[in-house]
Amino acid sequence: MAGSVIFSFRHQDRFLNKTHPFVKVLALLSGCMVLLQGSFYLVAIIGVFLIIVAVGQRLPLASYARQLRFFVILFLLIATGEYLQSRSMSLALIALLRYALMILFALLVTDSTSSDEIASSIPFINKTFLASGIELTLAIVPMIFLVSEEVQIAQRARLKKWTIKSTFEYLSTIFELLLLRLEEQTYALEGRLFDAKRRRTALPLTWYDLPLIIATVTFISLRIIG
Amino acid sequence: MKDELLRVENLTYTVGENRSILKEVSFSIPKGSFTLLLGPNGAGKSALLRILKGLYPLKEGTIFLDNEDVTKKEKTRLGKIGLVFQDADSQIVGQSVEKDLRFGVANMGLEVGEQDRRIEEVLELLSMENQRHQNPHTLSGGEKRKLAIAGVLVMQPKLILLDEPFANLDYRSILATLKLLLRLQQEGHTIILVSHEIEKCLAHTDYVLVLEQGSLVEEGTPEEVLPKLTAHGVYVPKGKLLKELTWLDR
Repeated sequence: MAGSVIFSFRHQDRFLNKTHPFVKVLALLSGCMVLLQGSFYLVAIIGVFLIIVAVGQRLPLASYARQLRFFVILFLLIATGEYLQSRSMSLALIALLRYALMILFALLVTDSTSSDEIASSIPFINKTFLASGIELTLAIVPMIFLVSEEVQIAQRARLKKWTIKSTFEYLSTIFELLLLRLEEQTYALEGRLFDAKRRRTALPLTWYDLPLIIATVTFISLRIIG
Repeated sequence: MKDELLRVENLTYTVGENRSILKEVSFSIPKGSFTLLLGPNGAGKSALLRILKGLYPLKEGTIFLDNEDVTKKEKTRLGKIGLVFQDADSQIVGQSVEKDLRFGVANMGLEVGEQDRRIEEVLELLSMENQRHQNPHTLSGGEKRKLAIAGVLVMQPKLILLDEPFANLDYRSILATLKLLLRLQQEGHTIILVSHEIEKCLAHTDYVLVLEQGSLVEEGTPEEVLPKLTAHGVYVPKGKLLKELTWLDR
């Protein structure tokens, strides 16, 4: 039995689960804009806010640990790049914090929103094939992590040594396996009469959305004020 | 044959230039029957199921479903024939058990009330009410297989095809799956099951088809076919009577 799967929806009776998916997406986008360019103090405030929400949402970060390791390379690249550019360790660490918080924000949204809800809630496109595209793309993200983990475990079991060549082999194996899984999933979708243009019922806004709408407006204002 | 549900005539399937996967396969299946499709690896069993379902293009041959020629009607076959894939993981689409079950019925364009009714019915039938909100990726192998079967049942197909449903399952999950299939048959479902492990379920089957190198080499009741199976590369446990070829206590 697999543990929690990163970037995948968990049904819960919690605040974020009751919030409108599109409001969450807007909050994520505007929040990331501020995280990307805001001052350290602003980033720290948003960070504290996100950590409180993550605790309230009971985000199982510990069980994501293995899958989160895929971000280590990204973090190292970001921190190294920032350090080489600025020659400042503190700026490198802040850059790392910004990206870590963006990932945490995305985790909170994906943990509380199923891909079909997001597809149904985006205005104008929720009755087009684009909605199905978004739904399937989001549904595939956990598969990428599961396949990567599967390949990594299989290769470790065969005492794989990490070299540049073996890293390329590792990546190409993941890619091949993903293609095979996606081919099978295509047949499965067809077998279940998948209709990319099917009508989706739009979700209504509720009072639960107000805090995140206020947060979004605040994020956008902060971005404009600079 | 009385109350025939499926009739296949001269079905031939080739890939590439002339690599023959199935050669002039013909058979028929009665309503409410439990048919076992046997054969060694590469015999064309999975391809046959996928062609029947409408996933692979049918180039030669005819398929009748409930006395209707559905050869050129892939959409009819997709809707009326359910296929449980060998790898349950690839069949799961939804991010919770309930959402996965809803996927098929929503695509069928059913009213939400009817979708809810069917989902409740299947959850109860398969005793999955407590897993309704669980993420399918966190289910055990046996539970995923059960969900894959549920995803097919909720669409109320006339014929259920199962590709190696016992593969990668532990003893208890195999028993549970077998019991479920027999219950579905008792409720009137018609089942074709692909397996090469006759010791698990042959005693329960009504009809057996044997494929070898793309050709249908044997067909008949289990009593008729059992003595000929070894010659076709199917493992037959020594010294066992037909009624003993089951994992269920009878």
